[in-house]
Amino acid sequence: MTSLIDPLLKVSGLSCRYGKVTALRGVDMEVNTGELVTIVGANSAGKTTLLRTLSGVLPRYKGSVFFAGEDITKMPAHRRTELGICHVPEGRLMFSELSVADNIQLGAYAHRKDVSWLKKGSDDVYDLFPILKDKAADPAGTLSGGQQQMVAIGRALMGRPKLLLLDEPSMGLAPLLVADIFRVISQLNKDGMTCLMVEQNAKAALKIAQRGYVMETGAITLGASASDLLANEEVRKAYLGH
Amino acid sequence: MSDVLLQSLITGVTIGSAYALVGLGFAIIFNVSDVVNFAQGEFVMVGAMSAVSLLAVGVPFAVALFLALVIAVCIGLILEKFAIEPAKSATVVSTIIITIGASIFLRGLALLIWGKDFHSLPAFSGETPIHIGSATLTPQSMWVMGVTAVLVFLVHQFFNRTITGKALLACSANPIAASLIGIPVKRMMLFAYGLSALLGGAAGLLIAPIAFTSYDAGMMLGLKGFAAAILGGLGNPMGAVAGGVVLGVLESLGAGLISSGYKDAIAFIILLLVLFFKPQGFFGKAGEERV
Repeated sequence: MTSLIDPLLKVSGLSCRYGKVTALRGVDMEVNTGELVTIVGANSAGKTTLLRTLSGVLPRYKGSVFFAGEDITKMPAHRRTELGICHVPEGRLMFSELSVADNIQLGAYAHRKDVSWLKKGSDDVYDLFPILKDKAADPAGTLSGGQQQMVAIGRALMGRPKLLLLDEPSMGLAPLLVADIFRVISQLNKDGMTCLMVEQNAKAALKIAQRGYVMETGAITLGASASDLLANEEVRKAYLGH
Repeated sequence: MSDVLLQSLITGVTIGSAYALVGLGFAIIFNVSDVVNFAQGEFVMVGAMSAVSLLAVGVPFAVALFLALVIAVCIGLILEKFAIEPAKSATVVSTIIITIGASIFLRGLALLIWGKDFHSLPAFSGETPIHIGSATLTPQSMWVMGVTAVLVFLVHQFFNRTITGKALLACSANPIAASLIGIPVKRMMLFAYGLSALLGGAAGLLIAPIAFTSYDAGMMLGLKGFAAAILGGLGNPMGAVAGGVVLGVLESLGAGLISSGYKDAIAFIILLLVLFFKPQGFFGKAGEERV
C-alpha cells in the first residue's frame, strides 16, 4: 500500500480527551517525507497533546494515524519508536541523575543490539553539539537549559528517526541559544530529516519550515505554506505580534 | 571480650547479608516506581518454604534451590501483573497499600499450604566450622556472604554497565521520556519485580539453614530489609547493601553485648533514629535537581 506519493504521516479526524475535557477535536494533517512542518498556536491549544498522541504516550479517542502507509493508531509508544517516530519532548525531560552520555545512549534503546550504531550515533551527536562531549560524564540534570535541549535532541536522533517530533524546542532558552537550536533543526531538515515541530515562537519556526498549521482550541484552523502563513494578516496579528 | 566482638561481627555480617539482599530488592522497585514494596519479605519466605517442600518430596538439593528461586520470581511477576499493573493510575501511597495487602495475602496463603510449623534447610556444604581464635565461622555463613557479594556485584554491573539496567533507571527518572525513546515501561516494571523477587528468594534460601523459616518469617526479614534500605538511603541500591550489613552487625553486637532480647528492637530503634535525624539515609542523594 505504501507509495512514494503517500505522506509519511497522515492524521485523520484525531480526537483526544482528558476525562471529559476534549483536548483535540478532529485534527486532520499530514507531513511529507523530507518536510519540516510546524504547528503554531497559543498555549493550551493542544499542540503538545497532538504530539504525545502521535508518539503513543497518550491514548486517542477517535480518528486514525498512518505512518509510512501503516496504520499505527493503536500501536504502543515503544513500537512507534522502533518504526522511527522519535520525540523531543516539551521541557526536555532529562533523565536527570543519569550522565549525559547515558541519556544519549539510551536514545538508541530501540537499536540497542546494533553496537556499531551506538558508537556512530553518539559520535554524530557529539559532532552536532561539541559542548556535550565535555559534559558527557556529568549528570544531565546539572546542565543548563540550552545544553539539556541539545541532549534531548541528541537522544531523539539516537533513535534513528524517520520522523522527528519537536515540542517547543525554544522554550525557556536565551535568544542566542534559540537561534542556535533553530539553526541545528534547519540543518537536520536540509540533510533530509523529516520534522514536525510545535512552537510558540511562531516567527522563528515559520522561517525555517516549508509548511505550517495553525492550531486553536484543539483543532487545526489553517494550513498553508510557511511563507503564506508569514504573510497572512490574521496569523501576523495573532501569533507574530504585529 | 574481643572474641565476643569477632563472633558478633561474623554473625552480624552473615545476617546482614540477608538484610542487604532484601534491602536491595526494596531499592530496585523503589527506583523504578517510587513504590516501597512491602511484600518484599514474602519473596524471602516463599523461596525458603518452597525449597523445604521440594526437598521433602525428594527433589535433589540443587534442583530444589533452583526451582524455589523460579517460584519466588513467579510470585514477583504475578504480584506485578495482577496487583500492581491493574492499579496503574493509583497513587504511590495506594500502590504501597496494595503491596501490604499482597503481603498479608501471601502470608495467609503460606499458612494454608505449610501450616504454622517452623522449618529449616540443611546447610549447603556441611557443618564443620572454621575456628578463628575462639570465634567460629560456619560454611553456611561463607555461602551467605559469598553469594551475596556475587549477587550485589552482578546487580551493580547490571545497573551501571548495561543499557537494560540504565533503561530501568530511566523509567524511574522520567517514565514519559522513557516511553518516548522506546523503553517499554510496563515490561520494565515486571522485570524489576522479578529481579527483586529473585534477590529476596536467594536471601531466603541462604539464610534458611541458619535461621528457622515459617509462613510468617517474611514479615520480620522484610521489615529489617526495609530498615536497611532506609539506612542506606532509599533508592540507592549499594546504600541498601551497606545499610543491611551495618544493621546486621549492630543487631548482633547489641545481642552479644547487651541482651539478645533487644535484637529486633535495635533494628527499629536505628530505623526511627535515621528517619528522625537523617531521613535521606547515609548514602541517599539530596532531592534537588535543576529543571
